[in-house]
Amino acid sequence: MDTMVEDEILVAHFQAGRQDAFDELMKRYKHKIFSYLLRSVKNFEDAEELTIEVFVKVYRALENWRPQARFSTWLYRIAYNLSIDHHRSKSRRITYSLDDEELLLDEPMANDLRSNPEWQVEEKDRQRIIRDAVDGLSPNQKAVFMLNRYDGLQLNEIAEVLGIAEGTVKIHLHRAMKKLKSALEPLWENNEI
Amino acid sequence: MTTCKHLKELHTDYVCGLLDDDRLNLMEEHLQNCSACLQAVESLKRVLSLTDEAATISIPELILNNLEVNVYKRLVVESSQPIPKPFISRIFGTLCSAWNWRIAVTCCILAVSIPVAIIIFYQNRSADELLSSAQIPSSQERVEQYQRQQFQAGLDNALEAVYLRDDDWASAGVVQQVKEQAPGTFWESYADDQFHPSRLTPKGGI
Repeated sequence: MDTMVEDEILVAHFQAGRQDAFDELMKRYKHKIFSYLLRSVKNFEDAEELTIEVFVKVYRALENWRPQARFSTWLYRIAYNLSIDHHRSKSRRITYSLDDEELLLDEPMANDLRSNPEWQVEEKDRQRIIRDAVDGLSPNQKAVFMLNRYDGLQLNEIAEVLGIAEGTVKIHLHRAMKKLKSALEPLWENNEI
Repeated sequence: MTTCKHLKELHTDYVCGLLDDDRLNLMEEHLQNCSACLQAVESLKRVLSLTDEAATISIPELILNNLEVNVYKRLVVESSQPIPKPFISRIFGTLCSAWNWRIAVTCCILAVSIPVAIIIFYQNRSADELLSSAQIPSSQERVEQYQRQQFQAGLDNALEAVYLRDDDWASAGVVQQVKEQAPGTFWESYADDQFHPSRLTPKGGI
């Protein structure tokens, strides 16, 4: 199937009975949704489980879906709602955090630098500080920041995903940036990064 | 002229790529001449650079490759699962199957409803029978009954006056009254028969 076909047309194909249209939609969005959920739940197993759940929900609802909003926005909204539900039930379980060492950074670094224990400790510490700064944001600020920065959603799309006004999204983004700046600025001022 | 104060609010929009073309040009022109704003914008860009870098994670290909298969597996598993039973059915599910449970409920309902229906049926029927069998006189019958009683009492008085008190005038008055009130009836002929001169004993006979 043509990769340039719009999502909404693929949905129409699926509604007409073409199963491969759903395969194409999954192929397009599985990485984005998995990444979004992984950043949200910080756990590979949970992220995989939630991603599967997102697509199962989409599969079931797609037959009656009408393009009132973009398909991708709808998809992110389902993922967002599932991640919220996950966080609500999170306290019941012990999770395997993103801070664990198995989650490797995808950085093109020289092997000799990676093998340097001192660098590894510093790098790990630096990543922890940055993640703590992002985690220090309020839930709405974090959601807006992540959807905008990592998933490339526009403000109106974020507003639809989160179910809030576009102006509110902008306020959350401004406050998130301000908070991150004040949290991370000392690092480069002290030449730590 | 646009001041730093006005454009400061747009720093975040600028680094996040949210400005329209007009304001983007305005901002870029301003940044060429304002080191303070340029420094602020560079700080924000550095923040974004750091957070982008920290958020970059490698996702194992195996997970992504198996994702579609796992989605379809889940769909197959969930579609083959039975529909959850209602609460009451779940409680009694261990005792009997859903079908037996329905039969049991039906039998219970029949066991209660049939006797109740029979009782109600016979209650209504006996009431109807009672009503139909009851000798409730109509208003006309009651009037006739009272008239008969009145005539009977009048004739009794007349007989008493004739035979006991030897009062012909009183008895003749009562008999005349009965005849006038019940002309052409049994009571008129009865009065004629009882008070006919041939049946009356001669005065002083008693």
